[in-house]
Amino acid sequence: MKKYILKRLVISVITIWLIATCSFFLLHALPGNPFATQKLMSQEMLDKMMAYYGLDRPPLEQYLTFMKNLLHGDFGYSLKYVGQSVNGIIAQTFPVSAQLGLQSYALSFPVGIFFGITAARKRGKPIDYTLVAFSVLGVSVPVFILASLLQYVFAIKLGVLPVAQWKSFAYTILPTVTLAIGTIAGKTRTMRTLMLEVISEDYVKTAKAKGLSSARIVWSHQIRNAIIPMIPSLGMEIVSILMGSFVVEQIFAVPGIGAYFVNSVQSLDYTMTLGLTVFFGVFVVSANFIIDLIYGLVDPRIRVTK
Amino acid sequence: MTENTCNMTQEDFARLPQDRSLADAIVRPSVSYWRDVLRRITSDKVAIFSFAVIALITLAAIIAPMFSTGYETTDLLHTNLPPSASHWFGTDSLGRDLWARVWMGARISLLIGLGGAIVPQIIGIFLGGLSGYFGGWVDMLIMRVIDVGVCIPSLVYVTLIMLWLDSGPAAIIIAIAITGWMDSARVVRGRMLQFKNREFVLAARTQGASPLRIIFRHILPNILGQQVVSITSAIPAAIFLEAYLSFIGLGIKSPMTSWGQLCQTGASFYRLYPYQLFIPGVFISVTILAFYLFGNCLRDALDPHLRD
Amino acid sequence: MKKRALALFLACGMLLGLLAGCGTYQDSGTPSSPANSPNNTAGSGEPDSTATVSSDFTMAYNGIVTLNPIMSQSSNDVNVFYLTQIQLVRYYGDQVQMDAAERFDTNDDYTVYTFHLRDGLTWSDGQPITAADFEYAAYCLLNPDMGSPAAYSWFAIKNSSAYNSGEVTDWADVGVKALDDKTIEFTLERPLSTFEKTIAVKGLYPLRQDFVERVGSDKLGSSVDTILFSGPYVITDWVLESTMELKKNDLYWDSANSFPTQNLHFVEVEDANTKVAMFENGEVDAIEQVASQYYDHLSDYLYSYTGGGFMLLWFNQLGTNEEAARLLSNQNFRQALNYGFDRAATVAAVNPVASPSSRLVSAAFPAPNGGKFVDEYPVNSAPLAGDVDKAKEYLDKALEELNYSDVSELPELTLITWDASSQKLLLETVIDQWKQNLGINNIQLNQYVIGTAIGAFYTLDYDIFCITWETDVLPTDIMEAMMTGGEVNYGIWSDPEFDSLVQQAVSELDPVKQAELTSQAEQVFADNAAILPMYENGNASAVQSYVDGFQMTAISSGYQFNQLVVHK
Repeated sequence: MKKYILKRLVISVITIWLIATCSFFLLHALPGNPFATQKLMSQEMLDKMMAYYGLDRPPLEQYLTFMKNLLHGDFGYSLKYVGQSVNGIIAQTFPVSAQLGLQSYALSFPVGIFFGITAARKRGKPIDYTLVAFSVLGVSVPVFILASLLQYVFAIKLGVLPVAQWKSFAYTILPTVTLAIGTIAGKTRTMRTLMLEVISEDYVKTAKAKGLSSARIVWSHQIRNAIIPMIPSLGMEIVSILMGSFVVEQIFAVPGIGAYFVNSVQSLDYTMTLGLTVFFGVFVVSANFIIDLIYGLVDPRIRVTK
Repeated sequence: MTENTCNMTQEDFARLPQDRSLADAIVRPSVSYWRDVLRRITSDKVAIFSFAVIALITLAAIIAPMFSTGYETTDLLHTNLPPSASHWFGTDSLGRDLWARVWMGARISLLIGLGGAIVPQIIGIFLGGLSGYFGGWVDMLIMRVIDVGVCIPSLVYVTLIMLWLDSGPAAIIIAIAITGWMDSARVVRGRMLQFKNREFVLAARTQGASPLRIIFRHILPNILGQQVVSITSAIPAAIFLEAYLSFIGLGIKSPMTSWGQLCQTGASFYRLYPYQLFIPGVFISVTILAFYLFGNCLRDALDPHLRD
Repeated sequence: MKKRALALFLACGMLLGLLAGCGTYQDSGTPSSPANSPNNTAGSGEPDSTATVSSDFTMAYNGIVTLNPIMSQSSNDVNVFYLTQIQLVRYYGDQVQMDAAERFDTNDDYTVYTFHLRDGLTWSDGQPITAADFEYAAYCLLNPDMGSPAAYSWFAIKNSSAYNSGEVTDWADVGVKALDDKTIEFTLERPLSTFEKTIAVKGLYPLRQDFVERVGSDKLGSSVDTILFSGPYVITDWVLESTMELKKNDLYWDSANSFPTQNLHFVEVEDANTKVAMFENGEVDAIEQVASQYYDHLSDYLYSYTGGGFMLLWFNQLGTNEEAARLLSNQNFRQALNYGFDRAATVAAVNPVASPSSRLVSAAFPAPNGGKFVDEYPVNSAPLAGDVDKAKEYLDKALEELNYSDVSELPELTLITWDASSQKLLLETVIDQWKQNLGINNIQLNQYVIGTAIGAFYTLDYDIFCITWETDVLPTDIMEAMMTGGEVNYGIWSDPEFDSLVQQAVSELDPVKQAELTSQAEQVFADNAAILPMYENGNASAVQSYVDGFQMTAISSGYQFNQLVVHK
């Protein structure tokens, strides 16, 4: 086990290095200019800016500088947000996105699982159709429409919640719910499918034949086995949730990390994009690592260690 | 149990009158897996109905733009008109006829929705299947590629692809495929791990089935149901990804349009001109509902567990 | 008071003798009413004297990128600098007012400007503001090691351009000198009768050397702790891309008579619908940059003004390929496009607060005789409603000259712009009008993410490009930037007649003659149709009816809240 963990650690480091390297060169392959704003600049000024930030040097040299700083955990300064360190921006915005994501996950995971189980158990009954309809709507209505609608109903028409901003718990309700509805819908569908598969398994029949109570069967035979296949995607799910939803954050004016992710690529803010990518990469790699370990523990049929 | 302990004598048994091999003969015609799937699909009312809806919308998308020209013709004197006899779906902020635009957009959205949902799934199932079944260095390699791939902002790939291929439906589908296969590969790998040590796989293996045959013939049908569900939920995602890409200038070239784009533009006007959001929104939802219901029936039909 | 200031201001421009500008700003007892607030319905009802006055004002603002004036590239930043930093002179409405300077003098030929600072100016940390702080700010702007993108704004100063490019290495040779604690002198490269306007518009905000060196120039202005304040407000809290809290600065010299609102709360809201919803819900007192579809909806609250530059179509006469270059080099073809669409209807549909324009000079610029430059010096170009017949004539001529028998034979041209949705609507309708009016079917709109799009602009990798340009202080400056080798002419066109007219205008001292030469140059520019102006940008804010004195103007950026009162 120790050897396995050590091996995985080495691989993780290599993966992160690959992420940084690939992103660096792909990003620099994009044509364009990070100082290009809607305001025109003279060519001379532009060249001076490029020189000031060392962007006129050969890519390899820039890459080595970038790697050197990266080893110190320093992502450098943003090109767009003058004087702001990428580390500083992450430290400021990540907790906000993480809070929003965790809140919505805490809401959506149990609800989605419960809906999925209910729908599967009452297959073909009205409650099943209702939940299926809800889950279809949940995925087919895009989040920007959902957000606008919730905002319109609860903030403008009823006036019970604030329209936007991020000040106290009341401000977090609408964005949390908006983000959660999509996840609930997705979870309901997946869980329903997985449950239906499990219901016809032999061990469930055996359990029934043994005369176990249906609650017991559902809990210890069906749910457990149905949840297992959801685990591999859990890592990515949690990461994407922590990284925030650009759309929800924008509509509810949540000062999270999402906007930086999108805008920095668009404006070719190399340092910012690379910093965020590596940060994100570290998350993904460690989440997958942990998930793989858990997966092996939960499902004895799979052995990660040999 | 007690019944079974009755005494048996020699007389109770008789020699088979005929050749033994005939006992193994299958009396009913053999039904292949896919024929069985087709039979179950066609006997499902919901499946037929949802398929009809999909077919109707597809046909309309092909035919309607042939008769209503001018989806790109602006008319600055007749902007933001509500639905009426001359403009069935009203006009947008540049006075373009929304009926024409909705059907023009349907072509793009259906193409991208289906292509963008299916192509990455196929790649994902193939690579995820290999990875999960073989394990070892194949698994290692594919998983590392995924680990690296998911971390690089998809906007970077998409921008590069669009610059190479020029923007258009094919480029968008490729872009979605390149970024989207990784998720499904991961899921399929997980399922593969779950199934590969099951008895029926073991049985197939002992009978000398090739790994590819085991993966695609024996394990895949068990996984396919789940993946069909993901395909149906990936359709709206693809439609809206296209809208987002168009929004940042990387999608369909102007003045072409799509449902996603119509929705996105409509959303910024929803307080003032709700129909501009409502009409394309309803089309998207109905189409997706149809795809979902059809996908559900297909899943039931595909899944060997749920055989009647 | 308003009249008097105006008189002094005019005197400053007309007196050719010594001490041309001795505009002494005086504070009379009553605060001046908001000068020249166009369309400001917010101030329509006379404030009820019994109504309570709130000390707080909340606004959804356009978020800023930096508090560092040296590295700022955005007018959003400048809006905030107006509140947080002192200037030698500053705009209020359309007038230049004395701020840190109590008066300034110029020499006979307008090459030396001397500003005299008033007594008792202090930084937010209590130390005195001296003339050396202004000199140091100029040093930072022009120092090539500081990499300021705003350096070119100050190239009117003697040797500044050479210093910035490293040809001159001794700061002492540059024409900025603090003569003593209270006097700063600017020596100019060539005569300029309006240098105080340059200062007011471009903003020379003081910087204190010891402070800058302590925090480091690369960190300057990245947070509220790394910048010193000298203006009417200090920032107490700033979260990038989110919120900003400002508190009135009692150390500001005129704090007793201006900026009556104690606390300003700014919040950044990206989404257009959300912004309007917050306004309607009363969560904010004002919102900046209302989306154009809401203009009718919020018409009772709208505060709009033109400004923020021109939307222009640039023709790259070098083209992306030879055939495109041949077509775009044809003046008649460019004119066909110029006359071939209806600017007025387009703007009305796409951005109603913008004003359609087929010329380069902003309607806000005054003429030397006091009127508007655009009225006094008309230019013959495409009418705002377009002229399809004339466009067709031009097109036929172009086809003949280039030996095309039909429009359908024209080579494909790419029109590139960035990814704003407003741009998309604008260009879709323009391209469609060319198609409907002229049958031109060969122009394809390509939108890219902003970095890529504008990168293509700088490398001339386009046929036609749509971009805004924030114009300069004077009509003459605009023309100068457009000449061969000019600041924003990246080699896409060149006309000797235009160049010589501009050169004459630039070195002309007499404002009337200068304006005449400028207008002649503009006519050459319009005849050439190398760059098509489409409209002058407009901005619209929505302000609650209980707010008085909300002011922002076209001439100079800045939240001009000098008399902002919230009756709530």
